[in-house]
Amino acid sequence: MTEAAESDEVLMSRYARGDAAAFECLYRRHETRTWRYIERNVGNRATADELMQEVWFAVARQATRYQPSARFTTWLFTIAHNRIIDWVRKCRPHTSIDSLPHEGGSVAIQLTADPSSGPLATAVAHEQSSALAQALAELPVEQRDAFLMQIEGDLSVEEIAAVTGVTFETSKSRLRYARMKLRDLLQEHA
Amino acid sequence: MNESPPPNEGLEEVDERYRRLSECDSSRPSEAIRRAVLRHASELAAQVRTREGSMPIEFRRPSANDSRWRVATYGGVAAAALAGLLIAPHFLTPSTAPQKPTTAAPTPAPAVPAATPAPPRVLAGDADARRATMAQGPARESASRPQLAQRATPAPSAARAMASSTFPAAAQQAARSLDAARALREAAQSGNVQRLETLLAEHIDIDARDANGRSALMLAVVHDQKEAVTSLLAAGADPNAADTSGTTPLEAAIAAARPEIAAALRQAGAR
Repeated sequence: MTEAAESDEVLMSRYARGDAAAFECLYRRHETRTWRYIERNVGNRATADELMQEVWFAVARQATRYQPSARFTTWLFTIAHNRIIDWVRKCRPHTSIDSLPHEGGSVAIQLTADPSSGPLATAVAHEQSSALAQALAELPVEQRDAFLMQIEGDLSVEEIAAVTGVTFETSKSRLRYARMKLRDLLQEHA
Repeated sequence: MNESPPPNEGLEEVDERYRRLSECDSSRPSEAIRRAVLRHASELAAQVRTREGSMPIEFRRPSANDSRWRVATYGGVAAAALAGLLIAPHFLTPSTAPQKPTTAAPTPAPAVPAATPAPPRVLAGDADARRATMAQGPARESASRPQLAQRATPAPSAARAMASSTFPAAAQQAARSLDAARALREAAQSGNVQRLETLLAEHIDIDARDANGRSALMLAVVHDQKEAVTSLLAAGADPNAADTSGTTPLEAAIAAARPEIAAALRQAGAR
């Protein structure tokens, strides 16, 4: 069986036994999803880079503790979620997480800088990414977090409830409200 | 939070739209981050390979809530004081080699009579002997101090000051606290709840860490000791006490697939 066909859990077990190639496969498989989850939550590329590194360092360090019966993505997004919360508290200890402004617009500009594209393609990509970033930025923090966790991490409602420490119903509500708002916001931007 | 779910009509298209728009987003973590992560993982994997089996990976990066300095300080003070108390007087005592008589006058009587058996020497590195000495309590300590002072009688004033100082008592107190904290962690790790409860009644630092920054709660989580986790949380253990690698007890519980422990931690406010 090739590495690409192996489950996350098998790859983690292999890495825990010292197989660095298994980790690389795992990292490449989840790199973009983890990155988007973090970057779209914090709204700042430099911070996202920093947190991304912290999250994956933690995954590597804790590999020997990992039990294959635990779903890898739940664990990965728990770590990412906690690092984001830590960052928020560290940066703005007296500010509620709900009141954090999101730098959606500026992030959108950073998101689309792809020099290999032509000017028209770049402009279109910029506009679309900008619309998405702005729409996400307008969501309440908890709703954005839950939505990104589900769509990027493929976490179930139960898993999101577990990671964020709320009830199943609360988690479900957040997801529904997030989708409703996003639908309206993206229509506005269309 | 009182949120009643709204109807879920036509919301599937939002996911589709999100994915479509995300495809336009070419942003990724920087190449430097990728390299750093993979290099770090590779180094840790090499450590695992060079050790036998799957020994725990040690990575000592100080975290924001790192409290190892306390353990290191108290431990260092205790070790230095014990070593000083037990070894220094021995070296400072004048040599027992025969000396040339300078005068015909009778020499003064030795401080310690020759017939008196010397107290058993406890070397600084002999942990068992040191623990045994401490276990015998203040009576033994007070009995042994005068002998040590007598042996050091001809020594310079600095040594006498050290022997009579109250510093060793403070150091011994610190050492006892460390022993109690260690005992608490051992009880948590082994799931000895009775011992745990006894120790918790002694008002020791419930969140004291080992060299890897692991609290008693973290050890109970890692070793799947549900009752110990419950007891520690009920006694006020910090549910978010991360180890030196920044791992929280909840992350460890999820990694180890221990949903009951994870639920108990969340109920206590862990994240």
